[in-house]
Amino acid sequence: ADWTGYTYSSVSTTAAVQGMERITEEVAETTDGELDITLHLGKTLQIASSDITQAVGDGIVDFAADYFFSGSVPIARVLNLPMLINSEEEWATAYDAMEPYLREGFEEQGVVYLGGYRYPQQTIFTTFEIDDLSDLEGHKIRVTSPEQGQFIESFGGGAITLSGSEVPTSLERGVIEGVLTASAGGAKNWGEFLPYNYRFAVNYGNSVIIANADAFEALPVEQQEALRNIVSEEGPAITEAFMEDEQVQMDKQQSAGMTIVEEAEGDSDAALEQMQGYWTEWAEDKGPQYVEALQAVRDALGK
Amino acid sequence: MAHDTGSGAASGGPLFTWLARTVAVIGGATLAGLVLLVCAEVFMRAVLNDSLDVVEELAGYGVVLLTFFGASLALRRDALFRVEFLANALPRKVLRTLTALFVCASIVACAILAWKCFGTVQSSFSRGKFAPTVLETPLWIPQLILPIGFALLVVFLVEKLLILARGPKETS
Amino acid sequence: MESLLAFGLLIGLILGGLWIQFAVAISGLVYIYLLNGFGGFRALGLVSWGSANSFTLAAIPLFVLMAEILLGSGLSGRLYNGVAPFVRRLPGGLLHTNIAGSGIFAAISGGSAPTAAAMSTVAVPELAKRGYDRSLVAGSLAAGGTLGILIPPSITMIIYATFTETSIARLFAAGLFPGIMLALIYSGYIIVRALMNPAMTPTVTERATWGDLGRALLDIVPFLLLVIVVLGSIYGGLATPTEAGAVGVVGATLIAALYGKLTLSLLTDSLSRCLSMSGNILFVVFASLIFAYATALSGAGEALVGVLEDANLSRTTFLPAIMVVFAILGCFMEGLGMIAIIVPILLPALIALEVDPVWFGVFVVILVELGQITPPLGVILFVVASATSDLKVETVIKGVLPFFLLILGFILILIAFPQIALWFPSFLFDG
Ligand code: NA
Ligand code: NA
Repeated sequence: ADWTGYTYSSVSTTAAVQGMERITEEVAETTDGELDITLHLGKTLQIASSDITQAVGDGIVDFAADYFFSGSVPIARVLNLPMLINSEEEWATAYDAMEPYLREGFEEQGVVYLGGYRYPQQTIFTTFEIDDLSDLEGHKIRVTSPEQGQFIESFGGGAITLSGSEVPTSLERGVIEGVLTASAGGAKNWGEFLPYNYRFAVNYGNSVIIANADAFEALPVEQQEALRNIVSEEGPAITEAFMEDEQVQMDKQQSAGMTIVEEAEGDSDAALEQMQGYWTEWAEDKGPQYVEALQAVRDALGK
Repeated sequence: MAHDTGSGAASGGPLFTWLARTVAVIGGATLAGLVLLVCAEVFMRAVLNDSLDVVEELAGYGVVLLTFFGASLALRRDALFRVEFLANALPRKVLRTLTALFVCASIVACAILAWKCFGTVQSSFSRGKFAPTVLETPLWIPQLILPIGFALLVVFLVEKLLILARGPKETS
Repeated sequence: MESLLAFGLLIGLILGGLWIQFAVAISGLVYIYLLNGFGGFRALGLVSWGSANSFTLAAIPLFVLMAEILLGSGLSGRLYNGVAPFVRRLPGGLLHTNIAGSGIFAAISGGSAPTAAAMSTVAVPELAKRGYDRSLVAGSLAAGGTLGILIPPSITMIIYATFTETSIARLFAAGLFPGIMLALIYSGYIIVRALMNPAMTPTVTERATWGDLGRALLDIVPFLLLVIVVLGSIYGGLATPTEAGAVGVVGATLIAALYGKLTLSLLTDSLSRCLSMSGNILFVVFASLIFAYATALSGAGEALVGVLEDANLSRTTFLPAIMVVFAILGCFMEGLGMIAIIVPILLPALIALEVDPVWFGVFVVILVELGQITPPLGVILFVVASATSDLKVETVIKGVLPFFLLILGFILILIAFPQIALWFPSFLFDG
């Protein structure tokens, strides 16, 4: 089969794109070229990042990596709730609890969920000196989800929604004073405008690797197996590469003059307390399935 | 807004004129709304240290509307870009036939786009897809602008055909 | 093969006199059909949505509206009256305001289309009225507009930086000096042209008195106020480059009110003209993106870059070869799409050849500028042509040709002397 592949990322050197390239290469090799995936990078096809799951479901794209799927499979947002997951171990536990919901959510979209990878924790990068969360008070921080907005506001900060392409100029000129991102993510581009990094993990971001259900079903069983196996190996490898890059980028940013501030004692507990009530409220507001999924994750984590 | 519809543009009939006026009013209101919305965001952020959280999203939808409503008005006012020097060298009769052909081809293209965009509206609707923002806008609503916009272009292209069919006197 | 057919069809339809937007859309559809059959049309809905739904494109209607209000209130006329006595001795006269004005707008907006749209709306009618040669007016505006992405802030540079993980601050700094140099080159050309052919500019015989100059200064004040408000809002950290357009609209409205020119019909007329003009421009951008989708799907760009990579060129031949690739693709593609296709593939080769990524960013941005003023698909050409109904695209193309050659020459100079771009960032950041 001749497949169209797509990823939201347009940076050919990033772990996410390199991993997707490895997947297409290995698939071609394992299937003797029977399954040939042409991978297009983000912004080359005029399909918005937030439309990738729909594009896969509609059969416009056969195979994709999607980071911005929360409008299509909203239940997955449980994993991005601030303070719910605080470490890699917790992520693994929570992800296991959520996986059935994810599978089902994508299935409803006509999409086969094959696997995924995770970005390093999103921490707080600012233009002002920050030693603990109370320093957020009165400062404008760019957020990328309503849930992050809730977090910033609960510490007295102003949660600002702003187009990604305007972030650098806005940081430079003080339109905003901080962002939530990973050192190996947005900070790679914006780090030069951000002299402070408070290593407080607010939440994690993750991508899924998916295929169009009909196209997938049409493959011979061995090819389906091959694709599944390669993705389930490469997904964690991408996560691993990101973790390594996080440390590399952090060191690089530090040596370029960024002040790295370790998490202040007590901040984590205070934030957890602030957010716990919000999780419940959030899930109840969204519906019974969310309450169930959240409970499953909380049970698994013991939180 | 009498200025933008009746005068200047040749009309295929009162219905077309009415439609164009409606398009102009909606488009103008959207444009004014866009200015106010963006200014409100600037004010909120600068003075109140907060964000409306909806401006990037709504402005995007506004741009979609302005693209198609504006283009259909530009089409009606004969303001859409074209390179004329070769066409003008053609004999009148040939030019008329060529223009009619072009208009028909454009109608077909817009009809295909309207149809396919409507397919996306249906897809978004049946998927229950929404914008992952504060508004959680069900996306089929703003996406409806696309098929409507292409349909508007089709209507005004048909008007061009009607005017063309009436003969050279009115077209000038 | 499909690509050649689609490009050929596009050129044929445009030369045949079809509206450009429909010519692009029709050839885009045919292109998709040739590649994937009718099944390929499935993508049209989401691709249309992805192309049209854009916050940054909002800058175009916003900046146009600001300019329409200035024009409708007669304030732009006063501005030109005000500037005229000061430039009367300069060959080319008010044409230089096109370049300077574009430079100022470039420092406000993040893109070339908003820059060119705002300047053209005001300058084309005003300068035509005063007897300046249309094609020179149009050419200088199109050339000036391209400064929009070279002089910071620049969305194009931010996108390039994202793809290549280059420092945005350095890129911005690197674009500034070449931007100013290009502006000076444009002005120099206008002087030469005006001296060679005095009929292109109106002749002024009477001498300006001190009183004239004083009144003239008063006429410039409202515009200066607007510039201060808008620039202040950006540099003071109040508004982003896209939002600055809306601040500009409010500023222009306030100034119109200050001068007693604010009426309801001024506002509705401005809205109406802006609606049609920005619809015209946005629809070209939209159709170009559909075409760009097909081009990306075809892999034509990758194939072109592949040829270049396989040729195993040295640094001195590699860069001119990239110029050729950009020039070919630039005829048919919009700028960001070109960067998205070309830059990620070229990146490894660039690193191998030790090309400075900051310098290369400036190089790419100027090549993108070039693409925006090359027919058949050059957004800036259309933007300038949309300023008045009687300004033809052909006139703009004719007018921009000499500037096109100047930019080409400048790129060659930039290849020979990379320091033109690099001295300022290294002065700023390397102490
Ligand atoms: Na700029
Ligand atoms: Na071009």
